[in-house]
Amino acid sequence: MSGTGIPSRPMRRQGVVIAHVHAGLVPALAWIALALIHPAWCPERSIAAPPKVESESNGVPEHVQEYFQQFCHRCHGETEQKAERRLDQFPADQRLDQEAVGLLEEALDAMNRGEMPPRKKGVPQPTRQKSRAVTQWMTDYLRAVTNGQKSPSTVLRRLNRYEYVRTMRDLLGVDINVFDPTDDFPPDAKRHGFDNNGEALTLSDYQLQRYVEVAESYLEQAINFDRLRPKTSQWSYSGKDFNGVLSYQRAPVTWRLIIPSGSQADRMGQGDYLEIGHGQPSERHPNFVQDFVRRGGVPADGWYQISIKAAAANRLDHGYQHVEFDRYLQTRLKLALWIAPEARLLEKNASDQRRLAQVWDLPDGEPEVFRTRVWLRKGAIPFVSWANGVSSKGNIRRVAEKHHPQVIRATQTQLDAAQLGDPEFKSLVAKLAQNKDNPLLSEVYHGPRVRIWKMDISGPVHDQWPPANHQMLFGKQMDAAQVDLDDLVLRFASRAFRRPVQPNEVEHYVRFMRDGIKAGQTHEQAIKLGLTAILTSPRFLYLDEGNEEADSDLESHELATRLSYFLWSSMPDEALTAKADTGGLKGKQLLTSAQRMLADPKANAFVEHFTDHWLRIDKLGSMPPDPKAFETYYKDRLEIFFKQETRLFFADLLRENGAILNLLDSDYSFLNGELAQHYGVEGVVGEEFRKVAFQPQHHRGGLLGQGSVLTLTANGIETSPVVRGVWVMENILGTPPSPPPPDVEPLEPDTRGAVTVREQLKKHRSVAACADCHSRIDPAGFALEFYDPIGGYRSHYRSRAGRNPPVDGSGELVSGESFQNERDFKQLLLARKDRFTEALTAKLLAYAIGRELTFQDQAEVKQIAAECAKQGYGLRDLVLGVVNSRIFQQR
Amino acid sequence: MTGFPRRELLRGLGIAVALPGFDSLYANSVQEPANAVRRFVCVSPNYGMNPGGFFPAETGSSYRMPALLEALQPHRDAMTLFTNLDHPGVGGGHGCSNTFLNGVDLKNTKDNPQRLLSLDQLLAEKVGRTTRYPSLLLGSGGFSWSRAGIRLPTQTDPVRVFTNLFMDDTAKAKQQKRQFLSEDSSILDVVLQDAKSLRLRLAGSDQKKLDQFLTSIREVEQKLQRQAEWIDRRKPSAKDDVIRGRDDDDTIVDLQYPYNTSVMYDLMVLALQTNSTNVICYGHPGGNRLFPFDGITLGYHSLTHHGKRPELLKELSIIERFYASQFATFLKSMKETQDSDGRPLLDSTVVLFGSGMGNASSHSSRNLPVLLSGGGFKHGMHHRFDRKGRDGRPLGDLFVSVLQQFGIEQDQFSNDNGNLNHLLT
Repeated sequence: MSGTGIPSRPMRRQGVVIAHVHAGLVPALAWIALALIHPAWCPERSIAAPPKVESESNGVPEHVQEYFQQFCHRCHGETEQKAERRLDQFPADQRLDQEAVGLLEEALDAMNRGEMPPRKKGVPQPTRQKSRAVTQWMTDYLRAVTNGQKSPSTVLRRLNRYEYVRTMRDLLGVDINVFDPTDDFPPDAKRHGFDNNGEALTLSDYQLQRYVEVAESYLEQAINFDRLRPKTSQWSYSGKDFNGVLSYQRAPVTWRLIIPSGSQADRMGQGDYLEIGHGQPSERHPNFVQDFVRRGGVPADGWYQISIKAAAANRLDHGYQHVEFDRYLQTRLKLALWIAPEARLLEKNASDQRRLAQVWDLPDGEPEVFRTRVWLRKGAIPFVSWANGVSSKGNIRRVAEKHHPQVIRATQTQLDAAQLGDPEFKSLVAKLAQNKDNPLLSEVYHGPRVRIWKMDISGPVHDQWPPANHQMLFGKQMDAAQVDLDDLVLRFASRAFRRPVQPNEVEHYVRFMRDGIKAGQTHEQAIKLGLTAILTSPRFLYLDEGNEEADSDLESHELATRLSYFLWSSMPDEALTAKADTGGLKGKQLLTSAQRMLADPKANAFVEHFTDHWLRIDKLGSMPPDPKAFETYYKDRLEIFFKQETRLFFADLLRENGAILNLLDSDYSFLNGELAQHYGVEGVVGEEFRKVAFQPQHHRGGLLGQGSVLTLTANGIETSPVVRGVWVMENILGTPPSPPPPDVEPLEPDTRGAVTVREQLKKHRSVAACADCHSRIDPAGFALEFYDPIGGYRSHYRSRAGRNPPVDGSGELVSGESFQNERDFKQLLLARKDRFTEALTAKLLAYAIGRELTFQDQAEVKQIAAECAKQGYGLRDLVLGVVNSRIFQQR
Repeated sequence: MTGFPRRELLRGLGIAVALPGFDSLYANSVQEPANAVRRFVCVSPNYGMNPGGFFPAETGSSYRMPALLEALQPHRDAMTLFTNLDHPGVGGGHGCSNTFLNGVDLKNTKDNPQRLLSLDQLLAEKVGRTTRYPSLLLGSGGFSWSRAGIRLPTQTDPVRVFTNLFMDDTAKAKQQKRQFLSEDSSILDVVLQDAKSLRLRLAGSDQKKLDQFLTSIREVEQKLQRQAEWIDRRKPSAKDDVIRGRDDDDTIVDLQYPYNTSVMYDLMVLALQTNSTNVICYGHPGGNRLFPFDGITLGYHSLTHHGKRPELLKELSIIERFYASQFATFLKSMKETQDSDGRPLLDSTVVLFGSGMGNASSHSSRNLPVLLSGGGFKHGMHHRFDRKGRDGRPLGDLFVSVLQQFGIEQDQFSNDNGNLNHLLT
């Protein structure tokens, strides 16, 4: 069971009581479940071991009973319960509850994988024949027990934040990239990583109140009664119009200089440009045009064309020796275009709501014009920065002191200190005074910089008027008083509720609007409130999958909805709804629709949200890497690129129907210049991602070679084989280990003496209570010790004390197979490809239907996985297999 | 001490407040005995306090003040320290910080989310009815849970907190607010019809889930009604010294974390003094920020993974001493500020400092740092409980004593059914 990675059953611990077995009989099943243990530690369940029961009459054949006594009970019996699993007796009764069955399946899986009984010294080993006979009996027994039962249906699912926003996009035609009023929604509860589990998702009064407010603000954008089409204007600015300074004696607070044409600094005669001398990924000092700020930013919502003429200067030919410049040997200078939603957010350090719109690689020398089209809200102001600049003006000063000592003038601080009589500063200031008549730094400095000649903004452009979103609701009607309310509500509610509605089901909304108008509201106000109410209805906020007791098959609109939230995280589009209307989602037709939807750009939501939650990539950023030890993580924007790599990798498999085995190991990935540099891959330059082939010396390939996974499984400071081991078990093998038993106090890491993590863990494993589980958890983590906390390859550790012990990536699985490094380890994973396929199938299904899987789902999971394997392990086949399953099509 | 912030702000707070119409607000409230305890404050650092510097070596009244708590020396008679209190139902991990006030692991409440209700919210149900805000949740939060089992959001911006507490809306804004409130509640009326008809079509667990929606509607309606009732009541006024600085003083009030800690404490005292609320929780966030104090070279989270290395422990102690000293200043003003009955605020306020994280280095939830002050309890001691195997004394026992101090006749909290009355009363 656990082999299918179905992380569903409640935890069982010692003495799990199997419910409703014969009165007086309290048989306990427990199993040392190595790799496959489970979640949710329930203290209430840690009751004392149940009384031992006689087992004659339970219908279990003699040979099975003997087998268990001989090979299991010593560690999982009355006196000892390793891994909190106890197995004294098989129940005779076939009315097993889910927990007991799960436990038995766990046991069976462990035996099938050859992990139990453990091949350890002193543990008696059964013959293969004996084991086969027992596992055969267990398989039949379980089949009989679970036969014909159906899993509990998906619990009424609330839209999570991700789905809510995308649904608003499709329902109201609003842009969700520039404007996200949901950022203060309480985080959605997760179950096994997924945030679309109906049972786990909750609703609070706070959230409900926000739903009302947020719906109103979305509608505000979508409704444009009485508004005239805004005129398109054009603003044209030169480099001189930016907020730079003209002349200076020292490096100004920020190196943001205006070089007028013909000035002394304009050595190349290319003048009238802005020169930016430093910058960081999250720029604290925006470079913007003051005139545009005075105008109040863009005059209206709409699309704007922004073009910027820019180039890099002295990327390579500066001749300076300065460590921060070395990175430009590998990478071009990059220009970032940002959007500040309002002028206030241009202030220094007010970085929160600024949005990075685009990053371009700059050419060396001759400037180039870069263009982009962005949706801007009224008042927004575009600004630019050097995305991968040297970090501060201090760098420029240090270069100047080294290479141009003759231009250094005293700083104000130095002058002040001298004024106050500090002798040291007095002499320094006196010395620097000799430089008074020398050239200015700006005239001699030739370090790498970014130059901006022009920025043109034009817009707003509306492809149609009334705007598309207004038309979605009201057609071309621009007078609210003329809107047919009955028709509006009927059409809108059908879309919002994702099913056809009858007038009598929604007449109270119409009445609500009419009452409002009678009470003195304007038509527009009344319409807005009425639509807000529809968007606050549980019929919109929850995925209504009908009455589970009436029929287990989803009705066609329910199925369409399930499909579209699976692949798009949003509502069905017109085409899908039309299919549902006409019964066109039966059999093969459902797959045709699914294929069409996968080809739609909206399917990015599946790639993004599924990988984020299956692999826990959403954790990135919650334990930020140490900024000192891992500077490049921030400087090179690695976090964003890590996510992008994983998404591109997955999206490529989906598009090409590539084998999911590539997720275990591959000889390629998708990289841009920054990632390539981080991975030590040469010859990849620039911001754009592309498919790159790996060589063995790169030590990459598969998910386990990706920075996203390697970073999220570290804590930003150090790596832990335990965390990475748990991650591999849970997400790759589908067999999450149980949390540490409650009666074992976690060891407090002590890194004073021990040098490597492996040595620390050795200490840990010397505690018997820890050893059993950790011998299963840690090996995968050891193989990944070659990667530092941000996924950089390392052959040696860097320790604070200056000792650099080599990484030992070897280990041994409980099966007895051993490996030397991550490459060997991936081979061992590939040998378990079917287990991985089942694990991924289970994850996909759980995500697709919004509930945890149970043992009743197991057979079909295995079947889907086997079918996919037969077809060549294609990811798209697997996704379609999920859609095609009975589980997917049932409540 | 060099590691400390540049800003010194706390001043006599009592002088800055006026309470217009205050009596009228209380006209309807239940008459309480003069010595009643009616306020509760909880302060909680997300990563706890390093045990090595928090728990005294000696028990009784003449214990030596532990290193991290030196700033609390002047208040030793007004506070109690405990060793070996923990929540038996909580495992380790980062999540345990959020269990400080309820003692329940989220994972274990699938079927019964009400169990997540935290002490502060339970108290707010009793003492929060007569105030503008039933409770005030500040800072990083995460440990305050509603009866519906929802983790409650917090406010982090001191200016906004000040505005909410003390700035009256303009007539126009009030009018608009009234309109919004009535619109919202009329929207909910309409929506309720949908919810009811939908419920009829569903079955089993779906119905139960929808009941959560119905409950939320009721709660929002109550909230809206409460807000509507308070719109026209004038807020108490307080000088904005707290957030802007005084005219005759050129210190700049730094509203960035961590410097805004003292501002938050000031606001807390003001909020209690003006009866704006009776229940406050204030959380210090986790995360890996680099504290801008002398001697700090690594992020906070990095430091909690100190691996017992002395140089890192020293850096961590700078942050934790900062927390303790800010808290000490808070206790001082709670003693010096009088409530409307003319009693020191501290006498009518139970103050709890602590965390659900026992030892951040091992992510342990055992032996939680717990400091109790005020509330008419008997103080001045350090109590150490026995640890049997892994189990110490349930922290719920202390919570039961707190509940009883508020006159709430409850002899059980979470799964714990003892109390610590013999030590505290």
